[in-house]
Parts: sequence; structure tokens; C-alpha cells
Amino acid sequence: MLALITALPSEARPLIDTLRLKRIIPESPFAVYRGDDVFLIVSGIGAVASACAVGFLRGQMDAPAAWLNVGIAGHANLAVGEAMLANKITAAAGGRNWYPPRVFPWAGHDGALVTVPQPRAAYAAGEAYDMEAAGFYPAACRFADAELVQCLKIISDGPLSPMSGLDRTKVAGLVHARMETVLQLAGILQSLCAERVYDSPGGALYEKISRQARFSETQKQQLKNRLRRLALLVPRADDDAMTALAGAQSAAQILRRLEARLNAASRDLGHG
Amino acid sequence: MVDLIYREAALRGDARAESVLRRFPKASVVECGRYGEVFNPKAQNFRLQKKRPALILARKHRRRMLPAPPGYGIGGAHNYYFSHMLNCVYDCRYCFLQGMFRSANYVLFVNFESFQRDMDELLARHAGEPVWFFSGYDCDSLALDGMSGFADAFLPFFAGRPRAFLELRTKSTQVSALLRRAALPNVVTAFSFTPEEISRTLERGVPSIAKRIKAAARLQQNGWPVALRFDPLMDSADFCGQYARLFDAVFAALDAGALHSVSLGAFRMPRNFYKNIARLYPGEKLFARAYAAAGGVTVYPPQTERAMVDFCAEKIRRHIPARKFFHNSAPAHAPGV
Repeated sequence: MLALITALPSEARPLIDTLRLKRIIPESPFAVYRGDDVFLIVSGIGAVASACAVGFLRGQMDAPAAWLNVGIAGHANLAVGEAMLANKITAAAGGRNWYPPRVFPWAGHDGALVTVPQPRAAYAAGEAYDMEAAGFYPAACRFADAELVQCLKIISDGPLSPMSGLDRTKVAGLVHARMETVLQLAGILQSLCAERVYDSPGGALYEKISRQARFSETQKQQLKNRLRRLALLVPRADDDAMTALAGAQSAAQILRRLEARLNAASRDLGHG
Repeated sequence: MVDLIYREAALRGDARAESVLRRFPKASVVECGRYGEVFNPKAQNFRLQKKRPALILARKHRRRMLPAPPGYGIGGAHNYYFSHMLNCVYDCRYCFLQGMFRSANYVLFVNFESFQRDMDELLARHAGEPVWFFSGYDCDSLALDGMSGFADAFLPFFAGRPRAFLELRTKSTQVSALLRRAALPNVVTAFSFTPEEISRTLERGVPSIAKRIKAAARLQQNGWPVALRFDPLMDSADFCGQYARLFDAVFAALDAGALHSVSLGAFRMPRNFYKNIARLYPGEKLFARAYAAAGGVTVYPPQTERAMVDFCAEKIRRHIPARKFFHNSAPAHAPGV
């Protein structure tokens, strides 16, 4: 699952069109779109809006996601139209820093991104400026591993191209022109996210056994965990488990029997 | 190898940091405050980061030399450990670092001279007595030596301090920095081994046993003290056969009489580290089996551990005298990974 977040509708439009996203939840504080394995939310401008949008969108999703903030930014050195992956995010207000871990190869530009509370026309060398990342990043890290949270900025303005020249069409055009980069990064993050979903849903055997007795939520986790371990230790774990559980009545008894079976299987594996 | 490097801002212009940076001209360099800003945040995933660790260049400001835990050591009275690096280039599934750190990024502490100053203070505190300094606790001592320059910086230091003993703990074959110099009797290179079958399954990126034995033999031939570490011992259905073959191979290639020491210790790990790692690798058989708990440490059931240790101890004692054999039961970390 991928969660895309943009500040402006014009930043979102090329993504919506390319990914064929459909608007969902008509009456909501944010415009939310959905496609196959992709959500997109338009947060509005500013770090607080971005953080709020992350929380709102997570509430709409039923599975863990990778999070990608796509938007425009100013930069002193990079040419307008270049894409830059943030390797450091600084909140200009407060000075706090974050460092999105990068666990994939990246041949494009990367650099420091400063989130400012107001648009600014002064550009320090080597830094990009936006108004959302410092809200988006820590909020998204509440819901996903930091490796799955990234900010990709398309340079829209700089000392020679003031932001006063920007309009909705130009912003959409900038994002559209970098769609290949966006999709490439999105694909990487989706793969990582798919890899990250380690918790097995439990499977048919879990469903069957969990109906045999009344399990508390904690016991359900224990059952799932013990069945997963048994499947790793013995061949034909389903038959093995059913044999071990024959006649077991209560949840506690089922869990004890499985633990005993795991102990025996462990002894079979090794020296002792 | 490394395409993203974080450098503490205070290291701008630092000669050793600059030298490391020059080795990676294509890497992006990101300036940070203290390394903990990058290394310690929650929500990091060690397993994902292990795919492509970044390098963090930092200074270690305090707690550089730590007393070794009781039960850890090879006969010395005063034992300290230190880490010029955090994390390891190898990916051993049983390694406690995965459960101890949130990040798999490599941290290199470049202020080697501060470590050496602390060593001198400890030598002064234990005047007239030997003092052991164990490296390779939170990293492999030599695996990234070509990049860190650790051996080149510390061997001259130990050459001038015969009372100070250094253990380099490694699974690597990076011994060229030692071979370039005259052997030092107070610098012991300790090679860690598990049987080939275990190594292939659980130790990703580690050189083959044959290559490591060859590196150890070359050091021995050049007069360097070499030690063997069978730690952790890992259980398996063919435990006896696998370890017997390993001991045969190692002792056939090395001069057992010249070995500095041999130690072993069964797999053990602080329970909270174990739980962290088991969560990271739910599909790993190693963490599916049942273990026992002893004082907050996850261990093999006592009778299993006893059988493993007894078998190996008996085999090893055939090759070396008892005074050179050590059973490491330190209940905390399993060092040398």
C-alpha cells in the first residue's frame, strides 16, 4: 500500500490522472483519492495541515502503507524542474532535524530540505525549501517505519525563477514532467512496504482453531505466534497441530498443548 | 559500498573523517549534529536498513572504555571493552546487535586518540599489571579496517605499551594491516567460527571458513598471536558432526601449540534483544524453536547447553592445554559478531 500526500490540488492532479485515482469520502476535511493499492490526500499548505492529513488518511486505510510526500520546493542551486529526494528535513521553526533513512539505490539528486512557515524568497546554498515536510515526516513515522517515509520535491523556484511566476498549470506541469521519477520511487517504497508486512494474518488453521474455544485478544496473538513457529519447525504443521490439539477444550489448554509441541519439535531439531 | 554518509558537523575538517570521505567520492554527505540524531530515533527498521546501511562519522564523547562483563575475558584480571564502530558489515542472524540497536547504519568513531588517552589512564590506574582491551564487541574489529584505518592507528599505540593487551575479534580476512608490520605479542587476533553449515545459513556475507583459516594461518606464520572463538555455539541436528568437522579443519591448519587461547560459549542473548530480533524475522527458524530463560537472558535449555559445551570442550582440550581454554558464560551480549 502507498499513501501519497501533496499540499496543493495542482500537485495532486498529475498523480490522480496518471494513477487513475478516484475521489472517495466526498464530505471530508481533505480531498482523498484511491486507486489500486494507492491512496492520495491533498493536505493544504503548511506543516500542521500536512500532519493532520497524514493522521486522517491513516484512519481511512486498513493496511500499513509506505508514505510519499510529493510537492514543489524552492532551491538555490538546482534547476527548476529537477527532482530532489530529502535526506535531511529541518523545521525552520524550532530547528529540529529528521533524517529519512534511504535503503534503496538513488541515482537522482538528494539534499537537505527546510520546512518554513511562510514562503520565502531567500535561498541558502544547497538547501531546498518547502512548507510541509516537517509536519508530514514525523506524523507519517507514527504509522510506518522511517525507511518507508520519504519526501520527493520538484524544484519550482529559485533565485532566478521567483515563485511569483508560479500558477496551477505550471505546478501541475512540473510534477507531470517528473512523473517517471515519482512512479519509480513509489514502486520502490511499495516493494519495501510489502516486505515489511511481516505479521502473518494467521491462515486457515488459525481461523479454525480460534473458533474452537473462547480466546482473549492476547491469547489470539499467542495462538497465531505458536502456529507460525510450528509451521517453521515441522513439516505438515496443520496435521501436526490438529493431532497435538485433539481433545483440547479451552484456549489455555490449546495454548499449553501447542507450547509442549513446540518444545518437543525444538528438541528434535538439535542436540538436546 | 556506501552511498550515504552522515557526518557530525563538528567533524568538518577532521583529518580522519576527511580521509574516510575521500574513499567514497560519489556518496552523498549529510551533516548532522550528534550521531544519535540519525542513529537513535524510534521507528527505524534494522532489517530494512541492513539492505543498504549508511555510514555515520562521529566522535565518541564519553563511556569509551567499559568494564567487560563478569565471565568475559581470557585470563586477565583487568578487562575492558571498547567500540570504535557500531554495527557490522556482516549479517549474522543470531547477532545481538540487531536487537540492541534501532539502526543498522555503521557508526565510525574517528576520535581514536581519545580512546587511546582513556587506555593510558586505565593503564596508569592498574600500574604494573596487564590490562586487556577487547575490541569487536559492537562491531567486527577488522572487517571494515580498510576504510576505518583502525589497525594502523592502534597497532603503533600497543607496540609502545607491552602491558596493554588488545584483542581484535573478527570474522573477516582483513589482516593486511597486521601483516605489514612486525608481530606484536600483546595484540591477539581472535577469529570467530561456526560450522560451515551454520555459517552458510545464518552468517550472510561472512568469508568462508577456509578463507578465515587461511588468514589466521598467515598471521601465525608471521608471528602474530592468534586465538579461536567458537562463540556462539549454535545447536543443530548434526551438532556433533558439524563441530567435529570444524575443529578438525581448524586445528589441522593452525599451529595449536602457538594459539593464544580458545574460548567458546553457547548462544545466549538478553531477552529484550531476542524479542526485538524475533519480531524482525518472524520467518526465521532460529527464532521459532523453544528457548529457556535465565536471569533475563534467552538461552538453550540447560541440558542442551551443557551437552553442547561439554562436547566441544572435550574436543578442544585434545588440542590445547586447559590454561588456554575459556568457557565464556557472560550473560549479556555475545561478542565478536
